[in-house]
Amino acid sequence: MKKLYMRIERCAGCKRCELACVEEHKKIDGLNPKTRIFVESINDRPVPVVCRHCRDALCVSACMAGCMQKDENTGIVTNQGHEQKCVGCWMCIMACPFGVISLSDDEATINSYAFAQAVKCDFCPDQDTPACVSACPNEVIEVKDIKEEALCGM
Amino acid sequence: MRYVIIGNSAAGVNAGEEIRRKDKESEIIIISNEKDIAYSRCLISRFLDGRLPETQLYFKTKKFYRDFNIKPILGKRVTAIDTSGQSVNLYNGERFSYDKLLLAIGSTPARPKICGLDLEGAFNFYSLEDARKINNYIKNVKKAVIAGAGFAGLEAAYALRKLGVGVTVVERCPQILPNQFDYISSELIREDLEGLGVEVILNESLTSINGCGTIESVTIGEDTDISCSMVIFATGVKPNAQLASEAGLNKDRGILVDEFLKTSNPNIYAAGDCIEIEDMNTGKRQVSATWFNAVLQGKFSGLNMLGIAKRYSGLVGIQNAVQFHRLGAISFGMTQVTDDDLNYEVISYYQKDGKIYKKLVVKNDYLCGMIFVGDILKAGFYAALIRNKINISDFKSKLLDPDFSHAYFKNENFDQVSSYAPVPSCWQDPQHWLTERSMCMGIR
Amino acid sequence: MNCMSCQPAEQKVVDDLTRYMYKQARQDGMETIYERFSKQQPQCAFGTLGICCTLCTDGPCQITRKASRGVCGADADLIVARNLTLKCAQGTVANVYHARNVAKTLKAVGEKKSDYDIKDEEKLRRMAGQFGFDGKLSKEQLALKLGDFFIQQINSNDYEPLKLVEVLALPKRLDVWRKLDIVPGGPNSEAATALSKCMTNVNNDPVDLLLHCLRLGIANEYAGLYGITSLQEILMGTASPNIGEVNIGTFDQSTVNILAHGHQPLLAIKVLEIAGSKEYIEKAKKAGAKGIKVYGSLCEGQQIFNIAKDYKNVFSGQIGNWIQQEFILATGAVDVMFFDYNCVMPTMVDFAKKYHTKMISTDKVIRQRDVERMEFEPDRAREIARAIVDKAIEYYTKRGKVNIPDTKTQAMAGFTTESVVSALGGSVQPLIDAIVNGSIKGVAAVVGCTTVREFQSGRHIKALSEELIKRNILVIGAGCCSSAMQNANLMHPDSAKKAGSKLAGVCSALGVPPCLSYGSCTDIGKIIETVAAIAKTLNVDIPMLPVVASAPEYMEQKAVADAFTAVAMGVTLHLSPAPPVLGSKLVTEVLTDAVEGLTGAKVFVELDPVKTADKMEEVINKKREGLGLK
Repeated sequence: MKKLYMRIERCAGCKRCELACVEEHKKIDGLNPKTRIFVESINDRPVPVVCRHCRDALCVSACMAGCMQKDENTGIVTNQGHEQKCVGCWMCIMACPFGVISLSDDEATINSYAFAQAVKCDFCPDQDTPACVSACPNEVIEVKDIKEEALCGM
Repeated sequence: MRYVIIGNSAAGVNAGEEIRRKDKESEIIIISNEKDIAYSRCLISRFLDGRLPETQLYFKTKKFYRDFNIKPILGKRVTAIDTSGQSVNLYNGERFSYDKLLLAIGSTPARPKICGLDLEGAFNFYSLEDARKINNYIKNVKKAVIAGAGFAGLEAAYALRKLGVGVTVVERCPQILPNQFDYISSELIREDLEGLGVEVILNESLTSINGCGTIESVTIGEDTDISCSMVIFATGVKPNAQLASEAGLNKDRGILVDEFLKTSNPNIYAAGDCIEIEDMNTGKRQVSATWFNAVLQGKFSGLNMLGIAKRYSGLVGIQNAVQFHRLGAISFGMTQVTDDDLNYEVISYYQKDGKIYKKLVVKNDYLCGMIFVGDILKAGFYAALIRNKINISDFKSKLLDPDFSHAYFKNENFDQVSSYAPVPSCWQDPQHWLTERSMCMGIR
Repeated sequence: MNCMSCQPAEQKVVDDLTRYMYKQARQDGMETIYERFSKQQPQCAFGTLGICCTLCTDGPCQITRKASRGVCGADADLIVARNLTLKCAQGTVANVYHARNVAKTLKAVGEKKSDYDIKDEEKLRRMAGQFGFDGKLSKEQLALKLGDFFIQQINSNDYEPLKLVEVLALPKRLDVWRKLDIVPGGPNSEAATALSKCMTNVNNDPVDLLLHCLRLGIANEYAGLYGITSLQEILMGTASPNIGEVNIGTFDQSTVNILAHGHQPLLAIKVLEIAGSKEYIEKAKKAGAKGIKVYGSLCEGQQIFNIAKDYKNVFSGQIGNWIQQEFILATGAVDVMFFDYNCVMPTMVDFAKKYHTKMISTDKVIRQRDVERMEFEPDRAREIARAIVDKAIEYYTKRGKVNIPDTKTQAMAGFTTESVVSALGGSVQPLIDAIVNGSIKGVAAVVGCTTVREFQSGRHIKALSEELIKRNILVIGAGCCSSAMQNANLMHPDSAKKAGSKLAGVCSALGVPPCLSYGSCTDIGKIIETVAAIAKTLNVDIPMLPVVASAPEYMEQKAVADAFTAVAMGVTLHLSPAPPVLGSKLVTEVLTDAVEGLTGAKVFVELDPVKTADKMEEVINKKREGLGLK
């Protein structure tokens, strides 16, 4: 399963990954796109943090609309592109232990989708390489094919 | 093997899916008294106010039963369980034998014992059928009264408001969402709702419903009358434990289960709204009717029914995510603790202007409760600290820092795939951080 | 129960009184420097390492794994050197601006067009004599000539070596500089050349830029710091030891309170006179106050504190340093804050609004919205001072809630070359003797700003100073460091007991604290003067002396200029946090190593205060060895 893997010792905290993510998701989010990758910090040192597309994703279990799903083949967890629609209930935000699910609740979003939307990394379906990987000047983010270990969230 | 699951909602469906993923051969049957395919009960308010059509309420697709080879028996009530014969009896005489049985039979809305319940215009707000009934009746309703300011009641209020109906919510506790949020956060949410035109009356309950044939008014308290033509009851749910007790299974308020979600009968499991199990924080048994708990219990019970022993490490009784109008709010764990309780430490941040309220409840070195209102990002991280009982003694003063995140903790704490190479030693020593960083950045 | 209103910065603030006011400000819904700092995290390492260049539209460029040069071809070394030179130039001209203002005032005194007069005629004549002016002229004529001379020097061209340097510098030092060809010309012209060198596509030699920084550092001292301090002494008098109150607890709720903030104390002197006058005390009483008190903050306060002996009835305390300024206003006790340039946060207007303080700016260079301007001119000083005190009385009647922490702290200030010499009985020899016999191991100048960065808000300054005095190293403080040490109770004679026994003995005997406050950051010029005086007496060059400097929480550009001053002077310097040079191996190596071979001093970075003290002690020990001392 494809994952984004971080070499944090290289991260400068320039946040180009965040900008690239925002740019890439303008088509989904509309006027006020949100980043799905976050440059957090530990005592002022930057650490990039992003969705791990978990094997037993808690956000999938928490989603009461059934729209958050993990693809059997690619492993990508996303709430977009399915029959079921995100209704902006924020259960996934409550469930995600990494805090990487954000939200889009401005007027433009609500007008397009009828609901505010939960927003998370979707592995850039329209690109060969995720936008953040391409944008990073220090090659911090790598796409790796990792075997998902047998783990269960609880 | 035949697995029989009674209940076609969060717990039952997820149990069935979990079993099928591991066992491709055995027979799986889901029996439900509701005729609808698996829909999300939480979405009915959005159906009511028109934002979602009926076809968009299913949390699994229509093809789910076919894809997972699960036999759905819908619209038929189970009347009895024969534990010795290992079979379930339906209302029409049909019988299904089982090797393993899961009771995911949910809960039933409670109604206060007052007169006027039989008048036309009184509804529950629990099932899709309830929502359809309200939908049919709503055309000429100008004003509705909702009894109960818990989740369901407020969702109904919000939906009715969106339809242009005048709404008054009557709640007997001193705050709305009494089981979910603390006073300050509930006040913020109440203001948010009142901004929509919903009237909220606290510290009162309905004493009677009045009218001739159809509802004309309700009386609250001693003698205050509110004229209305519809009443919606959202005064709580009771776990459906009767089927279990009649079958001789242990129950209290809900069906009692152990940490493997097994009832007192070795072949019968239970999950979801109908069970009663220890809360991981208080240690006391309680019922908790929330979607997330039901899903996880369904999955765990499915695994246990398969023979894969998976300990369900504990209920988190309070967990809620809500946004009615402008204000999003999330609560998790022990949220009702106040400053006066000496056993706990409460850390809070309240910015009145920005309507941001964050509260953390700490006991010794562990987080045991959180409420976020207004800014709900990373709420799940705090929930994980609570759920996984992660020691936060080193970080007590950092807890509500904007930069506090899971990055401060080792990956193992979160039981998920690691995203990081092992942290290099230069991270520990600020002196060398910059020099090492410039080398790692490939600059010199 | 212990409900803590969540304070992310709670743990970081080292001073109790500041923490108290911080809580108050947060409860009042104010966003403070700590929140702003937190929101900025994580800060970009490209910037921190100095390898981000934003000069031209082909940028902004960063040196990354993928890109080892900017678009124009500049590599990491050049980008770092350019960025550093720009800061050094900024700091230099800032100090020189202050010096020019003082020189203009001195000139105005000479022209009899000012509200000031000559306080120290002896010094005026001595200095005038140094520069070749006729001793028979009247003091006004000399004032005119000297003021004019300084202004000319400031405005002279970079290709005309400064007479100031040639006359004032230690001859051995001047030799070193001549050999390196770094004797500067006029500072503004030097800065202009430096700026030109730093443009896109002009320079490709990082070492040349660093040498230029040394020129700026030297000009910073003689045309800047020295000019400021000595000319101010002529007009205001020289520092003399006195004890006063410090920190936020000093405010008096019952009086009209005026805060003098900034770096240029000339106007403040007049405000002190007006506020202490019978006429205005009466006015204040009529408004319901017990009297009028003037306090100082930042370097302006330190300079007044130095000469406070003359204003004892009205100057009531040195309140704080750069980080504390928002919290000072949060007391609600300041009626008027008048300030001139440097070190006033843009958010002070919001705090002033919230806490009913009237802000008045007094220098042409200051432009802050919602702030009344009363721009200082030497012949309008009294008029402006009256207006300020009137406003203060007016705002006293409009006070809102007042919350003053009730801790009182005292400190001794007023040290400078003259007063130290005087305390020692007329020469520096006793100090030299103490160093020789080991009762004072050496002298450490702990100077500069306070920063919210690692070791925040005075924490490093306090810890370092405590460590140094424990090791019998005399500490001299200047700038916000002085304030941090004063707040931490290290500058009262009683704090001699915190020092090692030998140093404690010397201090007790003289009745001085183990940390001597020289005053403001501009008084770094006086520290250099003292060091030069010791070197002269011993007939050695400065690098031989057991003297070391530290800017443990340096923050802004004047500190960068001062850093190059120290290195040019031959005083090894500790810096924390790391300056933005680590992205360039070359620049880092030059500053931390190679430059010692040129000027006799280098820079080292150390974030931990105890380790800093270790390294500073090591430097001092090495110097002692070199002098044959044990």
